Amino acid sequence: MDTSVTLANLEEHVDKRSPLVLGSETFSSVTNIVSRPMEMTTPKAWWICFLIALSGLGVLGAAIGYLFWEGVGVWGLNNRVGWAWDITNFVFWVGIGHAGTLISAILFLFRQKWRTSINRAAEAMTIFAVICALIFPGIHVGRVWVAYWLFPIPNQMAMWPNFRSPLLWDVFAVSTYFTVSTLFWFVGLIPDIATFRDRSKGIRKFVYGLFALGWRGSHRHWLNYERAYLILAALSTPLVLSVHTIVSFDFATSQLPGWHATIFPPYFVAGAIFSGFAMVINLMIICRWVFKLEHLVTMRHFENMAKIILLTGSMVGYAYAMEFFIAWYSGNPYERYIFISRATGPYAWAYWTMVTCNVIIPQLFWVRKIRTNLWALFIISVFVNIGMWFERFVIIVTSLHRTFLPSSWAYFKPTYVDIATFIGSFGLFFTLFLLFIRFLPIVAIAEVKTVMPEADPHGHDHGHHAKGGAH
Amino acid sequence: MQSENNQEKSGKKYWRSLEEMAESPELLAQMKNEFPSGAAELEVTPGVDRRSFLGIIGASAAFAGLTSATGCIRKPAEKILPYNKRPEDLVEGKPQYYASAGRFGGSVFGLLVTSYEGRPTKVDGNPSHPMSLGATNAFAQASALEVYDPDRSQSVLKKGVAQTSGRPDAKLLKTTLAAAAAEIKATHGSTGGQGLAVLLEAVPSPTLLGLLREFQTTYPKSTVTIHDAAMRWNEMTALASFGYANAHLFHRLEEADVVACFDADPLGIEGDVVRNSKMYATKRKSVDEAKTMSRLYVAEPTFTNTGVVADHRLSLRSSAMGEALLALAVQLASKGLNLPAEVIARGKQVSTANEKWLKALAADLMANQGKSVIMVGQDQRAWVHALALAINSALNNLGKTLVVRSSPLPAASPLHELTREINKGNVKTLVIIDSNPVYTAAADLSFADALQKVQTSIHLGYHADETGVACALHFPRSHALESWGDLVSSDGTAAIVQPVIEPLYPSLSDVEFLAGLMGNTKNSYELVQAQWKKSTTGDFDSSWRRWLHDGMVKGTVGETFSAKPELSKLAQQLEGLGTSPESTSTQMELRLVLDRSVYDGRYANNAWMQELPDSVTKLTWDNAALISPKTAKAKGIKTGDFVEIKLKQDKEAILKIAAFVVPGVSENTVVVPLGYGRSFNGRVSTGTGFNGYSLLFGENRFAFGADVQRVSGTYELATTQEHGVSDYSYDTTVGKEAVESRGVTREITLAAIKADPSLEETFKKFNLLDPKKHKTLLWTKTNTTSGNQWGMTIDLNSCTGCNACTVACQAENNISVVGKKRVLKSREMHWIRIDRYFTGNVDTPDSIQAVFQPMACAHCETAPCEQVCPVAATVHGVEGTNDIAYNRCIGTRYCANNCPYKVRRFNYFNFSKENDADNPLYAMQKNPRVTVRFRGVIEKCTYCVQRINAARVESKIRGEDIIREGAVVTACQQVCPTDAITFGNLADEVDSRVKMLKALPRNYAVLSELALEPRTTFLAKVRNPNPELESSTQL
Repeated sequence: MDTSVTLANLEEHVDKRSPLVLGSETFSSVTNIVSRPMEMTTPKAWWICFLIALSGLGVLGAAIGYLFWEGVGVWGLNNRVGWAWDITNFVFWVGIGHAGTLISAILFLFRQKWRTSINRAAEAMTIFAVICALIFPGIHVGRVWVAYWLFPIPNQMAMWPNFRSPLLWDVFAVSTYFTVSTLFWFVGLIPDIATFRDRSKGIRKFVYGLFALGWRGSHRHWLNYERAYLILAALSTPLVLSVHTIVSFDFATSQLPGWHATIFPPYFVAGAIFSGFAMVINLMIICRWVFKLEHLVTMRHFENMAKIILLTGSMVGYAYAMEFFIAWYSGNPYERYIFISRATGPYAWAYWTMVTCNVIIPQLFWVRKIRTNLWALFIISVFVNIGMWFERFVIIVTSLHRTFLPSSWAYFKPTYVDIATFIGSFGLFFTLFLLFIRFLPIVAIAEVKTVMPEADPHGHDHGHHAKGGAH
Repeated sequence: MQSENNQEKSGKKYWRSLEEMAESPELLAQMKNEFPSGAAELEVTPGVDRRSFLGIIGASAAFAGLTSATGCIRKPAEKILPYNKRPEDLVEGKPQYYASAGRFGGSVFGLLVTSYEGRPTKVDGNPSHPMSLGATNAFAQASALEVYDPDRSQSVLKKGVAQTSGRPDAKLLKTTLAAAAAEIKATHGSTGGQGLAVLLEAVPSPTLLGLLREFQTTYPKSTVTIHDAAMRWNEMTALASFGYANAHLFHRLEEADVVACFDADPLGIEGDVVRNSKMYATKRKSVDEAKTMSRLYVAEPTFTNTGVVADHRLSLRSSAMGEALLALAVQLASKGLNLPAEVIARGKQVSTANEKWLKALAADLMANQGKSVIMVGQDQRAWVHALALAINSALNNLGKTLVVRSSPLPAASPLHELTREINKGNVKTLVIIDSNPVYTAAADLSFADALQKVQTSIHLGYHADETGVACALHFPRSHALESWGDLVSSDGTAAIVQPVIEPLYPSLSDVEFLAGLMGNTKNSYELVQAQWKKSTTGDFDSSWRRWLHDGMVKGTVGETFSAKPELSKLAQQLEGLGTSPESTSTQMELRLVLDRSVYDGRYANNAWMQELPDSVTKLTWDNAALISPKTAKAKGIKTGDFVEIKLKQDKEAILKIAAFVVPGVSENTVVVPLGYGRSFNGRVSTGTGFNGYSLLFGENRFAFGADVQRVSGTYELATTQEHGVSDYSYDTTVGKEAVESRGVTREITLAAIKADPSLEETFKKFNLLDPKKHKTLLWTKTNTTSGNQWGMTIDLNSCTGCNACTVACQAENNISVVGKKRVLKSREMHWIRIDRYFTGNVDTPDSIQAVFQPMACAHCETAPCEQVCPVAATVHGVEGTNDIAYNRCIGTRYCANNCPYKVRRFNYFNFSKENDADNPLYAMQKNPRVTVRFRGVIEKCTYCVQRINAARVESKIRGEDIIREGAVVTACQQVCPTDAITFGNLADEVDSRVKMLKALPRNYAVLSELALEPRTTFLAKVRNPNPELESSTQL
């Protein structure tokens, strides 16, 4: 790996902005780099990965089929712990999705131009993660064949869902999120799909052409496109905050000790961004290496993301500490008990796994050498995601297993079906992601070009002024 | 799928006449296509007579309708038999009630059996019967399932081999019985019954015992043996020593202000539990109005129901009971009670570590002469019973709190005498009536081996059990709900046992069997009537009808002994009793006890009883060796470890059994409940527990010098309550604090009530928030003041944790059984459970107390479950009930998560379907008024909404909108032997008893700080500790 190149844009200079695209890339070379995965003959490695992912998907299908055939009892749930891995996985996957929307929408609105080379993959990750997430509330119900009753479908009995239920809010929140994210992603893809259309032949040309919606790159197209993109970014921005806020309402508005907490919405959103960025780092490190995107996805990107992980990880750590403080300060014995139980009870192992992965390990990112070391980044990000899965597990299961009446305390143990379903959801995720990297531009070609020096009609001068103006 | 047109035709169709319908060729063709079986019959027999033709038409048309409604699924052909002559008084869908009687756990009481279209579905107590007063125990409730036991004996067995293949054969039953009678006559007729023995249980049935007398007249040299788990041989011996021949004690706890139990469990499974509990409760309920209460002292080696509710409990091994009673006698004598000098002299040799306790008890007994009673457990030796009777007599209690009554049972010998005779070769023919000695006999008798020495053994049994298959001949027995009979309660009240259903399989009742063996082929109806005709003057038929209607025979009171016992005779009994090292020795004592779920093993194949959590251990589907935490620690035993219990007396017995560590067991004691580990091949009983009988030597169920060692391996024990039992290292620190600070169960003292009648100060320590300060509710409260507003109170002060409500609810509400594996996963389905909490230090058994708390859906007015259900499947009823529309439930389980009482149960699998598949007859028990739940839905207590609605129909007919007080009785309330549960209309200002109870200062809501406004509230438990002992009472 060429360190001089990868580390070239880490420093901020007083007199000029650091370049976002490194090397001597031109507009056409960027197009070439990004188009390469689509144009190359399918590599063996891709097939191997795809088959593995597809097997995972098969495991998911089998686990769900078995679940549907036998009933929810094939999971380890019981009458005290009514939710465990199912909702843990749901929140985990929804959380992962958050980084994508944050990168593509919020950072767009804040004019964080470094986002351009990672936003496409992050958005794809969002959509695939939300697909994985959506599976779980769908399959966790006892009678899946009537799960559609969750939707407010007019019917002859005039039976509506219960609008007081946070679970219903979830249905709206997550489905809105999925719809908007998909639209946002697709709109952003249009110019690049048109590029792919122009570069391919035969049936591919036809299919890309279909999705390119007749994009010709005219001035009017660009005008409409940018307006639409801006509107969707504005629509997505509140969703970043609202979706996980509402997911946290599932717990916060109920009255169980350990669930009933006003701190949940910000804490969940921070946690979601935390885990989402970790996933983006994991995915981008691999993509960058495989598709040789070092000039587009630079170390600066990773460092920025590591900083966000450090920030959100610390926020999550603060939330953990604050939960204990509230438990003590409230004088509520149930609350107090559940937190003591979390840290010292039968699930202490899960709690301390969570704290180690989420609070302690990410603190290593204070050190720049670690932030800029791809191996360290990769490993720490994996830990972050393990930790965040455990966070949801700890919140859900430890709160449920020891509630108000000590007579009804129980212990939850997962079955192999629980485990298979979770592993299978990764199969689904990677199947989709592998298809994505094979057939769609993993970097937003058009957007990256706008942050290249060639795109700036005023050149070096403008940057200097802007800097000066800020003083 | 059918075409739409076709569907239209085959669906609901109206016709003007049957002829028109039958003559329509299209319709016939269609039916032929649809249902080849019915249609084929039409073709093959064109000349069918009109009646069967119409039958076929009707059934086929009905099925045609079914098919189109259910789509492509072809249902198997079923026969539906309509009532073409409706029985008198029968309205389809309306239950009928029959008065009967039964013997459960050694107690006879009156029953009221609910029957739907000829299917008995529920067994309740007869309110007018003095031994039941409307309540029952759990065993009686379980008999509603017992009658549908799919493993019940269905045919005659010869040497364990069924004599019929396929269909049960009624003819064979009769011919075999006649042949057996002929054989007995041929073998024993000439010798007057030499070598003929009858073995039966202690069934106080006048008809059976009359036939037995007849049998003994025919065969004067025959012997009668009684073998019964509830038989009180030692008490009988003690009574006989005072001149009361063939007598038993009858207790009147309603008269007792001080009750002292020594190894006795009158509120649990010993004796007339239902009546005792009712009467005991009256002395506890007086706390609210009269501010008085009885005081209960219990000395016992392991928690019984009586021990849990005791005001003072002494952890004492069974072998030390006699000496404790002697020490008590000394204390009483020192306070001036006139007891024989020899007894006092003997008592002074005894040293006891429990002097303070006994002294306080003695003072209380002296202060309550004539109003106190000392009760001794059936397993205690005869001299202990004699001593207790002497003290009771000296305390002037005899005739007041306890009565000596003559027993209706004949003079009989115990099983060991029979076994001795068999081993001597003196028994050629053995007739066993509904007893299972091969399983329940003491190990040292080796009864199974002895049985093989009998030439002809004839067994009548409900199951082809261990004895049934070992006998030369086995006959299937009718269930008590299937046959006529009669029973006399211990208070002398006689009742006729009335059948509610024809025997499901050809079978014989006890009386038919015994009569049949004498060549008398009359059926049970004729036999019972013949018996009662003898003693009736006047119009028999109208008396008979009256008895059947009332459920008891008017004017039957039995005999009471009124003579005072000759106390000097007591000295003889104490002679020869050396100073026993037993009370102080550190050797392990083995205590075998009757099980609260399967009794002596007879309910082992009853799925309800197997899944019923034990009152104290909360153990289901198994028994275990109960050991105290301290002893367990010393021996390195943990719950679930295998232990080996070795007992060496005449020979050595070893039992490998799982250990269960539970507070309240005396130190150096191991308690093994009997009744499990049966080798009978029942689909429910197989694989449950360990056979404690293999450690039983002689008649006494406790033994000294047991060797208990941990051996390798562990066993999974399924308890329904984790806290307090399985994991002490964790729960004694954090868990204990958690329980006590939560104020879930509120326990106060009588003194506190007297000092603070409003209880405001007393309750402060339980209130996490001042109840007056948190009245801001998030949701608007529903109407609570008009119409019918249902509410419930549960009085913790009278609950004895007997579990009857749990089984009654299961019977009433079609609650599925889930099996051990799923109980291990905390998936049991009981709608009402009895929570049990311990207090005190686990290392000192005397300081341990426990409290029971029945817990079911509390029907919160601001129910957390209702708010979170996304599909509004659980909603608030206008009458304040928290309702579930099963058909709307999609099964998110969010409601169960948010329920603070954790009373909601989820159908993780299709439990009811599985139950029916595993036990094909169980479906017959189902209550047709309650929806059978399917996979994937939540269920929970409905306040017996089906009963509310039935009462509503009745009141509407009367033109009343408000349902009258007492018209709705929930199943748990109905069965409760202590009337701890009260249910009624809170909006009723005048009559409502529940409203009155809710106004008591003792009333509180569990988790009141959550502002759930639950409709079920609890009345705090009140203990009445002796001020002299108060320091040892943990409150």
